[in-house]
Amino acid sequence: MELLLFQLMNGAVVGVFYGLMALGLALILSLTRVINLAHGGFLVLGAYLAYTLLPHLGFWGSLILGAALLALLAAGLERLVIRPLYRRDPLESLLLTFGLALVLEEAVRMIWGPVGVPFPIPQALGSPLFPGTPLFFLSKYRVFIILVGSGLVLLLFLFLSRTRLGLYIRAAAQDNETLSALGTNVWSLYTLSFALGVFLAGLAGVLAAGQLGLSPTMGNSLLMPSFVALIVGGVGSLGGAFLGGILVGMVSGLAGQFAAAASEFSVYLLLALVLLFRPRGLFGQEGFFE
Amino acid sequence: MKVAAWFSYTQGRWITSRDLALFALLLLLPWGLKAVGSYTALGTYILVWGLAAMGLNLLIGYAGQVSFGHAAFLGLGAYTAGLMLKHATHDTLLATLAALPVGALAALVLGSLVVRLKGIYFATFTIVFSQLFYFVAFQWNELTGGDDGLRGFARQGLGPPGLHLDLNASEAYYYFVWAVFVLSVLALRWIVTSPLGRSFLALRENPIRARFLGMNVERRLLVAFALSASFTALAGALLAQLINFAQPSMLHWTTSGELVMMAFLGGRWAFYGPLLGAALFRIMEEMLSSRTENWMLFLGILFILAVLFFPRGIAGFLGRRE
Amino acid sequence: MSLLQVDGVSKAFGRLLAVNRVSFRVEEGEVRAIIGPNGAGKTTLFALVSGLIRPDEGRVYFRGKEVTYLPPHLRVRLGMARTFQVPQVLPELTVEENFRIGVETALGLSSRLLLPSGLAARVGERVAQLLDRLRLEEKAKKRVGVLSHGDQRIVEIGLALSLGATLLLLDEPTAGMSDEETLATVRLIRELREKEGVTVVFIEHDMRVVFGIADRITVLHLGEVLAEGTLEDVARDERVQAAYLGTEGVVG
Repeated sequence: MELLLFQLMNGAVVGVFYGLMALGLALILSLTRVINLAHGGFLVLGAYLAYTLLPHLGFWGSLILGAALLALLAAGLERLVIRPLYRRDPLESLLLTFGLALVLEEAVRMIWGPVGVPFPIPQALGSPLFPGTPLFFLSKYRVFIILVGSGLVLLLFLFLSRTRLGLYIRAAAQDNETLSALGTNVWSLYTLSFALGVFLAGLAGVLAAGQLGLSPTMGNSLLMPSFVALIVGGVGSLGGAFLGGILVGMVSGLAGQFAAAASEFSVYLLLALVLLFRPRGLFGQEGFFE
Repeated sequence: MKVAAWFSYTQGRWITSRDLALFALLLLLPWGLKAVGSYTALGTYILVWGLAAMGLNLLIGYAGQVSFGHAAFLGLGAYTAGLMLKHATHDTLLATLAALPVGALAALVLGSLVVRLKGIYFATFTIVFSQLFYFVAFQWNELTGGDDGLRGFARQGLGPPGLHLDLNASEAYYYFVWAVFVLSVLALRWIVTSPLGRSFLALRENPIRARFLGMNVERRLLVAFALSASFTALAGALLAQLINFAQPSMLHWTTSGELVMMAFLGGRWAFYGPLLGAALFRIMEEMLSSRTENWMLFLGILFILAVLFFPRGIAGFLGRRE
Repeated sequence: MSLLQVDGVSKAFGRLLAVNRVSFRVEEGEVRAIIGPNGAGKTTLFALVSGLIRPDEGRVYFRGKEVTYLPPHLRVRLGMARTFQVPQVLPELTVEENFRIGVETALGLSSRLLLPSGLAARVGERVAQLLDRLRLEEKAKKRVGVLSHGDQRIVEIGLALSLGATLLLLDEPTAGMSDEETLATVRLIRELREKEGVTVVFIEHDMRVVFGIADRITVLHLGEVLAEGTLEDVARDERVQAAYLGTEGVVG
């Protein structure tokens, strides 16, 4: 029983990473229609940036500032290399983000070396929440991740639904032609959503680094399940993307009970099932694929 | 002879003097490589990846759908050849040809799941499939050797005892690959200049119109997918026998990405574009990797620049129609 | 048996009822115009008849056979062809290549790897005929994407023709055309009816075209059939005047 809870908890934690990644991907996708293959690369870069800031700013500072710097870089890149491609064949932006992914990962390898390093988390979070009880595995850090992840998603939704800027972003996702006809600088909104999406990836990266350790390949290993999460949750639904991530995390966590390999396999199985029975995803909008 | 003519993508005649000239040039490649201080196997490597990319381009350039999962077929072909040599045969040709039905079948199964989707959604799903195959190759230790890869086989030769042709030597294998390449190119050209190939163009240009011309778009795309995968699988079999090794990274989605890069860089709207792309890619890799460990970075940057400024690829740039 | 029979089809998009229990019949050899103000549901109706979307209720019959849920490509094979408001052509290919693919598909050759010279010659002949008929010989080797809008429309009609269809659904065939081109298109449609007995149903806003060739007119308004009949019938109909022809009065 405890083992089951443990796996579920782990699954939820990993699910937060996938969920934040998928949410970022979904945000970028819904506005710019770009599938950001470089999302994993950004995640890794963000984590390493935070790592470098760690001795100067401590955990909290480097978490926020690392992700913020990353978002800034992403905004610059979007403006420079992605924006010219919006009017072109969507394949070209896909390829560009692929090239970007290679560059980012290689850059990380170049600057920080190919070997992984541990990422220290604050002492306050290092201990279990309920020591001495059967729930001893509930480390504060794990709970922290779940809380922060959910909190971020909530913040994002409040931002999108309650603020003016959020309204503009939602409008741009629906109908950018009308919006720009009304005089809004739609391109800036694109940049903003790209930066925001990458910001989420950066945060996910730092959180994941604290849990799984830092390594140049972590982006790639988190990217694939995040894609599955995006598809399972349903293209076109932001909430669906995050929930998809949690689902994927939990499914792989549970499957991991049986065998280590089953964990990854279950993700693909989940995808296949969704594809067969509900190709638009659990919360997706119809017509996205046709 | 205009350079542009080399890259014309309109289907026209099945085989022209330009093709023959290219084949002849490729015959001399080992000599040329050695003359510049390189080695024959690089040429074989280029032909193999060129074939893989040209196969992929049947789907991308002609049928208009991008697969980011073709490494699945490349790897499938490689492991098939390796397993054939380990357990079933000594014959290089058999081991190579075995990849065809395997690749085609896998493509039919996978393809039927994704042909309903179009555009970037199609591409995204294929990424995941590539990874699925990677995962299987990685995990299924007993069959594939897992992370270490499939070893313990080596190309031997062709033909029954008595009439045996040893392909162990670099040059000998190069000419075998050359022959397979030429035959494959002829097959590809046949497809592309046939009514079937022309119908693929309709899929690319305007799937709605294709549908309203009476074409079953999904089924036709599946056919294109399967044909394309077969060529890439064939290349995979040749690859495995070049290095006498098959490994999971051959199936990784980033390898699929490399194939797409080759087709794209070389020019996906030109028949030989992907061959050019493969050659450039591998030659650059060869030159850069000896100079710096982080050559992927420069290749990535170069690629980004190419996407921004040469979206039609090099062949497209050279062969642009007024 | 009518060539095309539409029985009580409806289609709603969310809360918008685009087509509401529309019924009509088109007889073989007829030229029918479908008119109505913007938003009347004309293009949605075409989408339903051609199979692009499925109705919420109602049925569609083509040549007596029910095709309500038949996928578009199969309707095409039964003899139904259509054009779109924005010409759907194969832009990077030449006019000749466009027609060639159309003819090959119509002759059932589009899945072949081999084309014997006899059949190839037949294809070539048909393509040449089309080019001649549509007066596109000079532009045969040009990429359709670079042609003028009007020419692209003509190529699109050519594609529909290449299929040897018995029913042509034309969505605003003369939109964006010059007077000359419009005249040529009207002539072409007349020819099709007279020489080949092709049935044509077309959506139009240009009344000159409607009055020029339509045998009967179906007027749509807010998704419903408002009136149907000959030119005179429709022109005299007060409801039509009110809804569509407006205060400018009736022509004719």
